Amino acid sequence: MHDMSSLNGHARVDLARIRESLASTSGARYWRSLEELAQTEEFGAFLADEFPAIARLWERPVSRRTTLKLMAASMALAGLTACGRQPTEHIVPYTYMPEHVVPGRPRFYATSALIGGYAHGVLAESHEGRPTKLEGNPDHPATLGALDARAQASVLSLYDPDRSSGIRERGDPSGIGSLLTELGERRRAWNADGGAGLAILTGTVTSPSETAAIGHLLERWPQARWYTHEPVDRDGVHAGTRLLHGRPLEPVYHFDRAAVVLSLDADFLQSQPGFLRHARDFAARRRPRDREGDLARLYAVESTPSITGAYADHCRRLAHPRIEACARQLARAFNLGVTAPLENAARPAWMTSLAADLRQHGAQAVLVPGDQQPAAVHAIAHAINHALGCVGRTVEFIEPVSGNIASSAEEADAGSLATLTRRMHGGEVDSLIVLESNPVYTAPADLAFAEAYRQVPWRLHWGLYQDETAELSHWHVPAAHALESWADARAHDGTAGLIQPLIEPLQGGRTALQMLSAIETSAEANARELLRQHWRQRRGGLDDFEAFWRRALHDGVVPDSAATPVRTRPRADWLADLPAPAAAPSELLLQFRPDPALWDGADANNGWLQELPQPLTKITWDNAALVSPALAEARGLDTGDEIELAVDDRRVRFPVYVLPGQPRDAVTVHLGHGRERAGRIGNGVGRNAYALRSSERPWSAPVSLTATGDQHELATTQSHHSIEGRHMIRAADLATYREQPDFAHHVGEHVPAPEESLYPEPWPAEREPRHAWSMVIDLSACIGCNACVTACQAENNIPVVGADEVRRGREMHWIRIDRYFEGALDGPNMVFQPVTCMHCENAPCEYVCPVEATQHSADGLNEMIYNRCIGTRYCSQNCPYKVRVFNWFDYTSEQAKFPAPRPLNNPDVTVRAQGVMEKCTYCVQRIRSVQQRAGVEDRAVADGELQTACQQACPTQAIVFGDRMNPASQVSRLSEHPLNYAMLAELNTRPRTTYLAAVRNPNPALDEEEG
Amino acid sequence: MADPPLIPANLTHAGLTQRLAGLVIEDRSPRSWLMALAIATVLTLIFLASVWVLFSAGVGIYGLNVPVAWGFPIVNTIWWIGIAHAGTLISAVLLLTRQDWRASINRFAEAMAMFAIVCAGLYPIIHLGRPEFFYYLLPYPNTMDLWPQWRSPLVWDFFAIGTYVVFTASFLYMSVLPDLASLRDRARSRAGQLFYGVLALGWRNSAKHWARYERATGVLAAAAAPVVVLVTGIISLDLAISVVPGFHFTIFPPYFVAGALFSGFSTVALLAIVFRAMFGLHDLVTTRHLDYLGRMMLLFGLIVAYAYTQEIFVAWYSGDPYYRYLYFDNRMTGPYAPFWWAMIFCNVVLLQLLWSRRVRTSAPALLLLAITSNIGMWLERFQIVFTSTYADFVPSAFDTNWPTAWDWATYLGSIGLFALLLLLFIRVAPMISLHDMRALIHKRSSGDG
Repeated sequence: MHDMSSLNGHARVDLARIRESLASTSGARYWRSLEELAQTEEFGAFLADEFPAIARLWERPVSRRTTLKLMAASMALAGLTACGRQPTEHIVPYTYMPEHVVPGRPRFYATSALIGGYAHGVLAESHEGRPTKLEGNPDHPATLGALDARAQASVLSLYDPDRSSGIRERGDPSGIGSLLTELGERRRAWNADGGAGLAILTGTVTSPSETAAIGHLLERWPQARWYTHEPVDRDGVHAGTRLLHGRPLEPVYHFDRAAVVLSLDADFLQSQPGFLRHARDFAARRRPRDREGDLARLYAVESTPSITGAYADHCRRLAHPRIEACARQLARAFNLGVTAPLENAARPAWMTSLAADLRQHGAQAVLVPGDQQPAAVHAIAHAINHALGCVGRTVEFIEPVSGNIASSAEEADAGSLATLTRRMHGGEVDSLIVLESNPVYTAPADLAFAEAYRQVPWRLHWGLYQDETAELSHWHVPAAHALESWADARAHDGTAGLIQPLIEPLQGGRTALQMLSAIETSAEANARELLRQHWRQRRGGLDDFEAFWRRALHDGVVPDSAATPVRTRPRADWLADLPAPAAAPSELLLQFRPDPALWDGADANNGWLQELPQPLTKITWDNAALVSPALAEARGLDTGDEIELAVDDRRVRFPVYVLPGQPRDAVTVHLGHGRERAGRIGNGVGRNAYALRSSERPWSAPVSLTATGDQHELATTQSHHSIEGRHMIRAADLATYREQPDFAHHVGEHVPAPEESLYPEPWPAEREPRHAWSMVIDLSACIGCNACVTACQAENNIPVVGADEVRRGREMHWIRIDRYFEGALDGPNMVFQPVTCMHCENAPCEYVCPVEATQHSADGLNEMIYNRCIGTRYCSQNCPYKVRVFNWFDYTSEQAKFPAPRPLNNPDVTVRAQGVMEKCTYCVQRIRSVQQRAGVEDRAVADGELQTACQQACPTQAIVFGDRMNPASQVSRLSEHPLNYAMLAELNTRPRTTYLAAVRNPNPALDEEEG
Repeated sequence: MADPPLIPANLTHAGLTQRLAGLVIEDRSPRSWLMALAIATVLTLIFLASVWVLFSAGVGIYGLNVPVAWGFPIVNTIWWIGIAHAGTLISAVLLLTRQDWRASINRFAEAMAMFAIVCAGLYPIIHLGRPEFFYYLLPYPNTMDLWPQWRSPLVWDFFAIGTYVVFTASFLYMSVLPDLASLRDRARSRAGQLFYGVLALGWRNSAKHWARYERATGVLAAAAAPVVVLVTGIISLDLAISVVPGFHFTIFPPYFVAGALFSGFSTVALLAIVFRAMFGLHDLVTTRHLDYLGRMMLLFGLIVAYAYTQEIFVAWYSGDPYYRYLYFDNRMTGPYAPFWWAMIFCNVVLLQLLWSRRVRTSAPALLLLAITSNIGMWLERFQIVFTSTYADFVPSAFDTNWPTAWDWATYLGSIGLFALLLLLFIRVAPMISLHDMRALIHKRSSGDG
């Protein structure tokens, strides 16, 4: 270890001890120097040495005379400090104003965020050069203007102070020069043997330029190998299509054309590539407000309750391996020749009705197999799709989007992490380059990757963080964040899009292309030029390249780059290759799932994602073992009990969360937690489920469960799960809706008529408003995905408060998704309801505030005046919806436990101080800015011109916002819709946010059977 | 029934004054007083320390959250206010109704009112998110051109407490005034003479003084009843004005007045028993006084119990699901149910012991019941603040809230502050009204006693 101290050899700083002490502090704490952290005696000695006079003064008893002398001297010398020379600082105004830049007005740039390697097209909002928020790119096929929580939260990671900040050689700071020199040496060796010992490990690579660059490396050193390790892999998808069609293909679903959908453990609304598009398309088929009575139907068979299952009209929950039996059982109904399962997974009558429904809708039906299901399920599902005749309509196949998809089973095996590890153990790998992957943390435990990794003589890691893998690498190169990078990526349907930087790399990171180019040439290259080079070659002629480039950058998508569907038929002998049905294991199973927020754990240091309540469990800052009520009863477990899960001889302790709807014979844990080197926010949060995972059985494995008797309090945002027979959420099936479209008005409490009040209402009497802002939330469309929650957090500078505060019920989100269970304990329905401030016309919060800190605007907004608020909290006590949140401590300043990066804050929104109340404002800053723009242009605000952040992010268009005074507006129309109802209208609060009751479309044939 | 006399037969004007004024001027402090003072000082320091932490860290140190955004501070405010309101009312009402037994205990009640209102008034300020801006509640001319919001019961509350502080201080001072003159005349040191001389406002015991004094106290006492009922009512409106089930009840104003009197009589009994033991005043504060105090506790305790039944009945009879849920699913069986049942035990079950004269006249038994009644009344306010809000309308927002160590430190600290002020007060002014006792002696000797 180098002596990094400034103590001139006096002492060495004990880095291990510092790490220890840092690890033991939670939250983000800042420190000035290593020495300060170490608090060693030497540091004290150094201080004494450096400032001996002070040290002596300190030790000597102070006499009265000395005190007076010191005070006099201090007084006299105090003035002297004014004589010191200030360091010169230049404050440089724009000499030449950049074109289009208007200070105070944000600019938007099209780029892409990567979710599991697949592009989500985004518009990045930039305030004077600082990216502050990501929004969906309406022109991008994967987002169409919506954006998921994970992609939105990536802007917080951009400013993460824990990101890797420099090249490191064996843990010590180094420079690009040394790296290039070293790479030069390595290249000579690789040149000599054709790269025989060279291995490159990446995750899923959809980037055309990166694929090409890796291709160049492999051409140059033909003996080198490219290995793939995606912790949440989609191997089943490609293996299944390979089994059925003879080559790996990527299914692309068109839910806008589907009338009946069956999900086979597919969480296609939140997890599978293209999920935002799926949600958008499918919800459009499920909203009675748009389609009157013609709604699509969703069946789901799933192994862990997901939001897709919650959205389904019929949901069966089976342990992971039983899904295959279910697929086989269904295939029998289509006479595909598939061997029957050893044991039926569902009652035959249920299957018959399902099959009849699918067959009846033929080309309008579709089966969606889940990414975590084995090849057989995919093959059978798509075979049924072929039989239904829906291929080419509701599902199309394209060539794989990712650049590293094996075309045969042998090739897949050869490029797997298991093979790489075997070769590493065998000493066959002498140089390993890990690109933006963290296998030391994410590799299945049975591979003992870390040990194998240590044996590789030369290891280079390129990534955003100094993570677990970087820690064990000889070289670590910081990666540039997507918002700092020139790159490209492809979406689920093959559409390519460019990624452009909005800011210079804050931590000196390098892009993937720069890294690959440095490996190839051992020289630095310009990131933008590398990308342009690739696309120039790809587009052939130079003539129109500049136009193409500008267009592609502006739009965020490369025109006409979507993959063309391939025409394909099942192979004649696919059945022969279909594995024989296996007996479903009788023992308890452990199922692995990516975390809905953290995914594989790469974003574990992101406070927004850590504090994002999981859609179904509402757990934040943790992962729990999801246990069915039946199993909990049998084992005497309850939520918060700590259990030990043992797979083979590997053991990890988890807290229990009893989740109604979880299959009885399976326990589910989420991946992505229990990081050790994520950063100050993510370290030690939750438990590491990878430690139980094996490469053979990546998604489910037999497990033994033992109670430990310990307790662990989970930080959940919703502790009461029953709706207590109240009518917050109103729903009916399609038949009821057809009979009685305004059924929502016939449940719930008596709603008082306005004349029942003794006083003129609403108070204060409306002052001839020109606008009446209003929101309608369509419960038929809401899938509970949390996109709105993160959008609101980013737009409104909402702080992160940490697990302890969440435990005490102090989370700060302005919009929450209430989740209720309904029906049987073992097979409940789950329903979601987004709740924001209702902006009541008769707001109970307003009249109780003693200092007029919350008031009503003429256009109907319930406004908070933060600098007037003294924090009596009466408004919160009197709010029947409990949508107000309070700054119990200082959550926002530099001294806060989780300080928000200053540059990230939306300059249009006040950052709230300690001791004040806050709540949803209907994004008043957006309203006013649109009004001002319209005013300057002397026109009315158009309907749809104004979107709140939650509405904008919502993939299912469940949130509609607008002006009720405009009779033509969508919100006016929906306010009059028969499904429209107000929550707690009986209190005469007259909320401006109303709901459209949910309409479900269950199969009448199954309805009776399910009773 | 042969009641023991309210004052000893051999008590003379001079003897009484000598004895009671002597407690202030001459006597060395009894050991028990010193011990009590030490404990109270420690608790007061704890109070100051927790307020220090509160102001530096934020109101989050208390067990507060959404939905239970008011916790201990508001529970304690209402509890202290109840005690405070009763003090003045007891003294004034007993004066107006010419109750002779009032003479021995009215000073306790008045002093108790004064110091309880101090404690009560502190909580609403320290529980603010930004206590440094509490003056926004005042209607003062300011650059924001903004007045408080008159529709908010918290503003009424602010004025109610303010009025009450002024009123209680005047009433107490008025009551002490002739006694201060007695002390002035008896003080031996120059400093004492000056101190009491200034405070006595030139009282010369002239008939004119007495005539005006009687008229003034009469007016104050007559004003006291409506003031206290109004002020207590307004405090209850803090809750009743809201829409929260459990807060929003029309019976709250009378219910709160009864609750205040119940806890007030209990506290007076408690103080009377403690101080009579501390200073050996068994002949002045007799078992007959205790008996009367016990009867008053019983009377108002029964009214409170009646209010409980009415609350429950109305919750059921309204048919409102939120009220029914609150009473039948929450208070009686929910996570805070032990507190509810403890309250019923203290305020309803134990109270029935007071039907027995033996219990009423036994100092230890009455002391115990005074303590349990105060605990019961504290639990009642805990019920109102915690169980009403933790599960009100939207089930997803239901969440419990448990007090932290800081909550307890501040609460116990405020009891210490109350005790400290009271202990110091009785060494500055007579703890039993000299002039009222003298009037009693006079009444007896003139034959109509």
